[in-house]
Amino acid sequence: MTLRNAKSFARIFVVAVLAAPLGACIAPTSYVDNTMPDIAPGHYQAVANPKPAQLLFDFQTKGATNSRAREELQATVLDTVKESMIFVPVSPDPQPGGALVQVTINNVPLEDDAAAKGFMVGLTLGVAGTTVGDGYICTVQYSAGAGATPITKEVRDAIYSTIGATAPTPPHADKAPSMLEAAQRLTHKCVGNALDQLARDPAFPK
Amino acid sequence: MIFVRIAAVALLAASLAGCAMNVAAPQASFDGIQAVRAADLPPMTLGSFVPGGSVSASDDRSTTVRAINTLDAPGGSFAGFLKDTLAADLKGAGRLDANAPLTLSGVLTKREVDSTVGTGTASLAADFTLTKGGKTVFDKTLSVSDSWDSSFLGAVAIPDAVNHFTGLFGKLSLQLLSDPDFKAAAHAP
Repeated sequence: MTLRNAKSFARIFVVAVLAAPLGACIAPTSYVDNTMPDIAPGHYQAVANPKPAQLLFDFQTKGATNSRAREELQATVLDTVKESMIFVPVSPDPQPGGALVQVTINNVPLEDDAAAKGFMVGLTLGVAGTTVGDGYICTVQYSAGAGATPITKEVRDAIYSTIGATAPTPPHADKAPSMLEAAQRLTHKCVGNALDQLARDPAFPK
Repeated sequence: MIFVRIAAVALLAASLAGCAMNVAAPQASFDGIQAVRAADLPPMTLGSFVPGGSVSASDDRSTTVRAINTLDAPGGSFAGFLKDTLAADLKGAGRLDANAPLTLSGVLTKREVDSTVGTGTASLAADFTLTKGGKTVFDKTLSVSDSWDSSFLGAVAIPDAVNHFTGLFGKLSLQLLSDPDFKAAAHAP
C-alpha cells in the first residue's frame, strides 16, 4: 500500500467511525404520497380483447435517462402491466401485430433547494431535521402500430423523505420500509393509474 | 431525487478516494422504434464501431467526471456502447438481421462531458457508414449535445452528468434513424 493510499484509507476509517453513531438520525425515511390510490388486480378498466404489446421502460432523473434506476424498477413496471390485463401478452420484444407501449417515469425535484436542505442536515449532524419531496411524472405512450396516432396518458405522484431528528412526518403519505420499496410502490401506483386511464380512453381499442 | 440520494450516500463515501461508476445496458426507445417503423427501414446488420478523430483508445475506455470519478465505458468501449444502443433500437423494431445485405458501421469521433459547477455540458459525434454489397451508400457525421444545471455538490452533479452524457447515445441513435439521407440510402436499390 502506498502512502497516499494509506492516508486515504485512514480518512475513510475516521469518517466511518465518526458517522456510524449518527447514521440512525441522518438516514432518510421515505413516505409515499397516498392522495392517488393504488389499483388492485382485477379493478382495472376491463378490456375484452387485449392485444399483445411490446413494453419499453425508461426512468429519468430531471429528464435524463437514469439507467441504474431503470434496472431497479424494470421488473415492477413489467409486473404492473401484466397484472392490468390491458395487454396480453406483454414483452420487451417486438410482438407480431402488437402495440408499442412506452412507460417513462421522470423524477423531478419538488423544491429547488432540496440538496441544500440535505447538506444542512449533514452539517448539523442530523439535529436539524427536514423533509424534501420528489415529484414523479409517469407517462404512458401507446401506439397501436406503424402510422397509428399515439395516445399519451400522464399521472403525477410524490415521495417525501425526512432526514434528521426533528423532521416532521409528512401528511397524506404512507411510510415505506426503504427508499427502494417506496420507489417500487410509487411505480406500481403510477403505472397502474396511467394504464387504467389509457384503457378508458375512447380511442383505445377495447 | 430518490435514486440520486441512494447514489449520493455511496458517492459521498467513495469520493474520498475517487469512484468508478457504471452504466446499465442500453434499451430500445419508443421514438427510435417509431422512427424505424415510420420509415419502414429494411433490416440491417451492424459492422464495426470504433473510436477515431479526437477520441483516443483511452478516451474510448473511460472518462472522468469531476476530476477524480471515473465512468467506465459499458462493455469497455463508448464506441461499442453506441453500437449496442443502435442494436437495441433496431432489434426493438425487428430490423436487426445478421444476414441482411445492409451493414451499418460507425466511428466515434467525439465524446465529451463536463460537469463544471453552474452548467454541465456533454457532446457526442460519430461518422456513420452504410454499405450494401460492399458499396458505400451513406456516409455522414452526426452529432448531439446537451447542457444542464450542474450542482456544486458532487454527489448530485456526478450522477446528473453521467445520466446526461449516456443519454446522448440514445439521442444520436434516434438522430441517425430519423435522418432523411440515411432513410433514402437504406431504401436505395
